[in-house]
Amino acid sequence: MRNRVREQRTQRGLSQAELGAALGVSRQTVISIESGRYLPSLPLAFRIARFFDVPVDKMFDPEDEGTGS
Amino acid sequence: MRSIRNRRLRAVVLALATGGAFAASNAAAHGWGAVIAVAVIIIPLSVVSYVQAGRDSDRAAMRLGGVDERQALIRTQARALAGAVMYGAAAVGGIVVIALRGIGHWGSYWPIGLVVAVGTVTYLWGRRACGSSALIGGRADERQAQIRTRARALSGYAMAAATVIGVLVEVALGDTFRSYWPFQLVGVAGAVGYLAGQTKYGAAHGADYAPGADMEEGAPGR
Repeated sequence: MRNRVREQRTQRGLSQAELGAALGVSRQTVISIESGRYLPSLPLAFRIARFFDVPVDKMFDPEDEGTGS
Repeated sequence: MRSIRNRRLRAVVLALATGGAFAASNAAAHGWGAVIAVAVIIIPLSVVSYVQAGRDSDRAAMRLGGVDERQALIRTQARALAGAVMYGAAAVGGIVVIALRGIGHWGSYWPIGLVVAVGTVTYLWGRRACGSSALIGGRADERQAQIRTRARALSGYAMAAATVIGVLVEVALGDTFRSYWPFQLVGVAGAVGYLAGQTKYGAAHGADYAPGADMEEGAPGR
């Protein structure tokens, strides 16, 4: 499942550690989500979408089975 | 997330508590001289634990608390794998003992029987407690697979606890290594299974998780 977490994070000039702290997860988990190795739970997916003010279905695209952006 | 200081404190307390339990069981069997031998191992182990607890890694978080949802999932999957490996090791150990000594020597393989019984009962109880008593093998959907993994993890945790308590009791009774090798076999199998599970399910230790891995273009915020 493709996601736009890295794209949104870099647009805002945030580091993975800073995003992790804002979302309440570890830096390693942000890395795993960005690379597509870990699919976040629904609550975390919604937290990410709200944090970036992007609809969740725009942040995570189930149609694209590739890795993260 | 827990602060590094809390993690370090917890690591040292855990190492000292474990060492204290082994020292006490050794003291009961062999006198206070044995406590010094245990202390020689435990004090450096506490220092290593203190240093490792300060690292920014999945393994430190999983060992000492403060895990997020991904780390909790990896820990559960690793415990489930460890449980399966311990159960398998106990079964193989039991078969070997019976083949070598015959079925009548309960004294030779009661530790294995204990571990298998604890593993079986907690697995079945775990499945019931997690919401499914009907799931027996076969293809599982997402929820059923989650229940099975959690039940296996609970079973692994219980077998590890039974193994540690068994070793402590055997040591306190003054038994020799030969008499409690089944506990050691299961314990080593569980430790190897758990560490392999952490790696298999994605615990961070590769170069791509190293600090600075997010220094790609457009991420100046470090």
